[in-house]
Order: sequence, then structure tokens, then C-alpha cells
Amino acid sequence: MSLPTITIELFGMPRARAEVRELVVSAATVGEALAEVVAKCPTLADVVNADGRLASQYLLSLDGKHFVSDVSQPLQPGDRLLLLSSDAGG
Amino acid sequence: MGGYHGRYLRIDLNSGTASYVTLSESVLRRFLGGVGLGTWLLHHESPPCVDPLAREAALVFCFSPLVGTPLTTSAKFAVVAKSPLTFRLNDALSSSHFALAGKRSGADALVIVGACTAPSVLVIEDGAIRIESASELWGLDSDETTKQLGERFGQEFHSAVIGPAGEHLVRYATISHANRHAGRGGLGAVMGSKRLKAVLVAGTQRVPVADPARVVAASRDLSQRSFGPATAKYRELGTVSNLLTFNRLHALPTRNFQQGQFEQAENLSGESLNATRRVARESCASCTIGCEHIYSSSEGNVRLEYESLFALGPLCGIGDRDVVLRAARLCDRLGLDTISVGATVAFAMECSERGLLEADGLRFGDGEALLALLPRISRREDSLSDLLAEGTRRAAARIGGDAPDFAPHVKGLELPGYEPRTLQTMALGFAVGSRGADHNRSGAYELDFSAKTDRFHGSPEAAALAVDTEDRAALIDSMILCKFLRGVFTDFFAESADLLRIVTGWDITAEELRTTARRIVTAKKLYNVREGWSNSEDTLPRRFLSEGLSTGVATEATLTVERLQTMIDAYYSARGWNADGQVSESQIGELQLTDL
Ligand code: SF4
Repeated sequence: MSLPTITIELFGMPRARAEVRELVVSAATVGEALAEVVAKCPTLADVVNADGRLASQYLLSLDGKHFVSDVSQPLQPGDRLLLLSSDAGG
Repeated sequence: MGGYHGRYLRIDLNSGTASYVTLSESVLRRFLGGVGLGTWLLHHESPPCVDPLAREAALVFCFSPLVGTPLTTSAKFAVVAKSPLTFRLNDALSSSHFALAGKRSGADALVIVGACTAPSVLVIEDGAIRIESASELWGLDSDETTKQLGERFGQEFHSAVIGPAGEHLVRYATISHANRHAGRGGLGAVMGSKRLKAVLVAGTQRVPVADPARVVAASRDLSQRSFGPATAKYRELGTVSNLLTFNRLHALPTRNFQQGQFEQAENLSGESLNATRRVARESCASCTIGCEHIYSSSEGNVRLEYESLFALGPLCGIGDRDVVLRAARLCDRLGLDTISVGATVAFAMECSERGLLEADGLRFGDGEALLALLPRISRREDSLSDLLAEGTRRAAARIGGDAPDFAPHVKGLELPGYEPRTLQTMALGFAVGSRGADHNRSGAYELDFSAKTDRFHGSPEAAALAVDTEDRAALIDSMILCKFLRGVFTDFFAESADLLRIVTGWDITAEELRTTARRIVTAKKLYNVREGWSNSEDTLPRRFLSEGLSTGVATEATLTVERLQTMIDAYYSARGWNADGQVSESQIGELQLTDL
């Protein structure tokens, strides 16, 4: 069975590091999507900690609706994940 | 006791005299410095219910125990006064050599009362003061004033100055030092009301720290951590990178908070500014982060932050990046708070479009009109600019009709660049803030940008978390360290206690500092209560509580009066205050606030 296609939108530091606005990956969970991001963009290697969790200097939002911290969260085809710098405020 | 002189310098401009006043160890330990000590001083030095622009009103410059140490980002000072915009306590922070030289002048704070009879500069050198004429400086902008003062007094003096906006008592005028500003709440107008064009400081009086070797080691460690990932955003992109993120999340206030997204956001984004306009990166004195990104404009180079970008851009419907950069540069020179002036012009644009205000056809998106208005406002040149120099609350009251419903302020202070309907924990932070709608004294937005809360549905459960962000801000603003350093701490209260212990020699603990932070927040509240606060002020403009906001990701975001009230009730409860938001006598005793 093929994995869902997920679009990762990049903002702030992730965009500056990756030098692209978005990435398309195939992943069934948030953790798999992050692993794909790192595989495609080695400059984003610090996005995930050694334990696979999102590093504290980043935030992840599912379609702009909720922020997600649980990397086991399943993803649906067409989901968009927003990868942001944390400390979004001034 | 290391880190302190143990006294403040009280300057009476009426008589042209100054004297030291002892600060007891008890006061310093309970209020630390910065906004904490400034609040205590304001309680004691500003008469109850004083007009903020009256000669009796006090203007406090407050340093901190960390100023003068090698700890990164510690060269900061607070300016505290009763705000002419809100008539409530106002505290604003600024940085750099004024803090270092001010503390070396021999005091932990400067308290200025009275007023000069003619435009003057106040010169403070090692505790001795003199007042000199500023007649040739009056009318000059902040840059030119600073330049001329440098030529007149020499490099060892550092100055805090006002521009034309302060002179003309614009209610959101700033105090400038080295192109940085004590920006919010109209402190420049308080200085202008005292006919003070500038305060200059110099001195040779250094204070020892309790454990110099450990302070040096802690400074090295903190500097090292400041180069890490927690501050990368500030170093590499600056806060302007917030714009596209906020836009994507429908949290970017646009056209006076009528929308949460701006169709020209890409053009104004930090990313495009950094690619096309960035010319330098600078830092405050004693800072290893260096978050100040400098951009070129046809008006000269300008430091730009997200708050100026949002207020002079999307909030006014303006997408031309040169216009925004020029407007920010003008505000710096004229001494105008970019948030308040942007919000006031945006509000006027909406009033004009609705036919409520005769304003030469002012419309959203009219960049040239914005650029023309800024100098006029700073000098109150005509009836329109005079009205706008009063800020949105007073302007709305005069315009009448339903204008007060969409005047974007809390307690008179214009909202910063966070849309309350899509960031509903921040909405609570705005509503209850002691200085009004404020993103620096409450970090509640951090909860909206997390999995801990639902940003579209504010909940009472978030109130305790919002309290915690206020307490952290109170502590960091009183020690003082830069908030951009906050991400490097793993246990903020414990590490802060470590720093204060080696500087002061006090056996201070994380638990004591938690109480200190609560004490400082409560002391600000008690000042406001003394000046007439009631819980009817802890709210948001009607627009946010009656109009939904299109979000694209769900049905429209709405924030009802009832939901906000539930959060406010939970906030009062989490603070230990009464149901009407008043502080009980027993809590005043517990927090050792009986001397206020
Ligand atoms: S991080 Fe920025 S604002 Fe903070 S002290 Fe450094 S240069 Fe100044």
C-alpha cells in the first residue's frame, strides 16, 4: 500500500536552511514525515532529536489547525505540515 | 551585597538639585531592578492620580544588578512612568551604553521629578548633575540630537533623547538611545513635558560582584549557549521572519484587524527583505546574539523588527516594502512608537473609508499618505494629526459613532501584531496586561503556538500557563536580560537564581524568584488600582468579541465575551486575586507588598 503524500511548508529558519518553500514527502506519521524531510534536506538535520522527536527550536502545525508534538500522529493523504521556527513572537 | 550601589539618584528639575536616596537591601531583594524596582520607585515617587504630563509626575530610569557584568545581553535599562496614553503604569526596556554609563554614574536608578522652565539637557556625571540649555536642539530629530550631543559632550557621555514627538507630547512618543527605543506607552511625552530634550550619563563608579570568578565563568557559559540553536532565528533572520508565519496562520493583523492575512505578505516578508535589502547585522552593547538586522531604504538604513513591519505594512494595507522601511526610519527619527502610530493611522484609514472621519480621502494602502502623516503627527501640525497624536482610544472617543468598537487598544495601548481571535490565549494576555495590550509582558502567544492549547478556542485551563509567561517576563525584565535569550535556559528560575547568587551574594533560590516575579506583577497591578483601575478595563475592543475572522482552515474564528470572561476569571483565580480582580490584603501581606 502506498504511503500518503504530504506537503511540508517551510517558514523561518527551516525555509532559510532548506532554501525551498515546500517539500513533498510520503509518510504515514509525523515522525516519518520528519525523517523524510531530513533525508531530502540534510541542512535540516537538526529538526529531529536523537530520539526522533521535534527539536525545541522548531514547531510543527497540521494544516495550520493544531500544533503537533506527538511524532506518532498518523497523517492522511493531502495533509499539509507547517514547519516553523519556535519563539514565533518578537 | 554585590551588583548594587544601594541608592538611587533623585533629581528635582524644579530646583535643579539632586540627592542620593538609600535603597535598602530588602527593597532590592524584593524587586531586583529594571521594571521591578522601577515599579516600587513609581509607587513611592509619583503622587497618586497625578496627570502623567504634570511636573510632579516621576520618570524613572532603572538599571539592574547584572548591568556592568560580562553576562551577555545584560546592558539594559527600564524606563518606568505613568503613561499619558493609558494613565496606567508603563514600563519599557531599552539597551546598550546608556545602561552601562548610567549605572557607572553611581546609582541603581535615576528618578526625575519636576520640570525645567525651558528646553534643557540633564547631565549626570558621577552623581553630580547640571542642567544646560537645549534651545538649539529643540525641534531636531533623535539622530541629529544624538549626533550634536556627542560633539558637544564627548564620547564618554551616553544620551537618552526625545524627537519632535516627545516635544509635542504625542501620547506614544518614545525615548531613544543609539537608535533603540523605550518605545511603548508615551514615555517620550513624559520627558517632553519636563522640557527635557536629553538625559546624559557618565561615570566611573563600578560596583563589585560577590563572586567575580564565577561570574566570568557563567558569562562564558551563557555566551556559548547564546550561539546555539535557541537564538538562531534572531541571529540569522530577525523577528521580521514572523510575518509569513503569522500570515499563514491567519494571525497577521491586516487593515485594522479586519483580516488575518495580507495578500502582499510575500512582498513584505522577512525572507524577501533579507534577500533584497539587508545591509548589516548589529547588536546592543554586551550582547553575543546580535538580532538587529539593518535594511536599506531610500530614507537611509533602518533597523526593522516584526512589530514595525506589521504595523506600518499590513495593518495599514501597505505592501510596498520601501514605504514600510522609510516609515520605520521616520518613526525612529521622529520618536514615534511604530506600533501605536501604525495602529492609529490604520484606525483613521478605516474611519475615513467609513465616512466617520474627514481625512483628505485617507485609504488603506496609501503609503504616501502614511509617510506624509508621520511628521505631521509628530508635531501635531493640524487638526487631523493633532487628533491622531492622541492615540486610538482618545481619537475614537472624539470621532464618535461606532469608532470606539474598532479602535484597536486595551487600556489605551494599541495592540501589537498578534490577532486575538486566532491566538486566543494571547487575547487573554492582552486583556489583563497591566500596561495594556502587550506582547512583551505576557508571552501567552507561546501557548497558542504549541500543542498545549487550541488557539481558536481559548480555555480557562490556559490561564495558569499565561500567568507563568507573565511571571517569567517580570523576572527577566527585572534582572534584566534580553528576552531573546530565554530559549537557552532549561530551568529559567533556577538558572536565574544561580546568576543572581553569584552577582549579589544572596542565598537566593528558584522558589524565592517565583515569589519575586509574582510580587512584581502584583505591584504593577496595585499601582493601577491606586490610579483607578477596575475590572471593566480587562477586556478587548468590541470588534474582537463580535466579529468573526475568516481563517480558511475552519469556520471563522470567533471570540465571545463569555469565553474571554471565563479565561479572565480563571486568570484572576490563578493569580490568587478576588473575583473582581482585586488583590486581597492577605496576599499583599504574603507578597511583602505592605510598603507600597
Ligand atoms: S538579542 Fe538583540 S535586542 Fe537582545 S540584547 Fe542582543 S542585540 Fe539587543
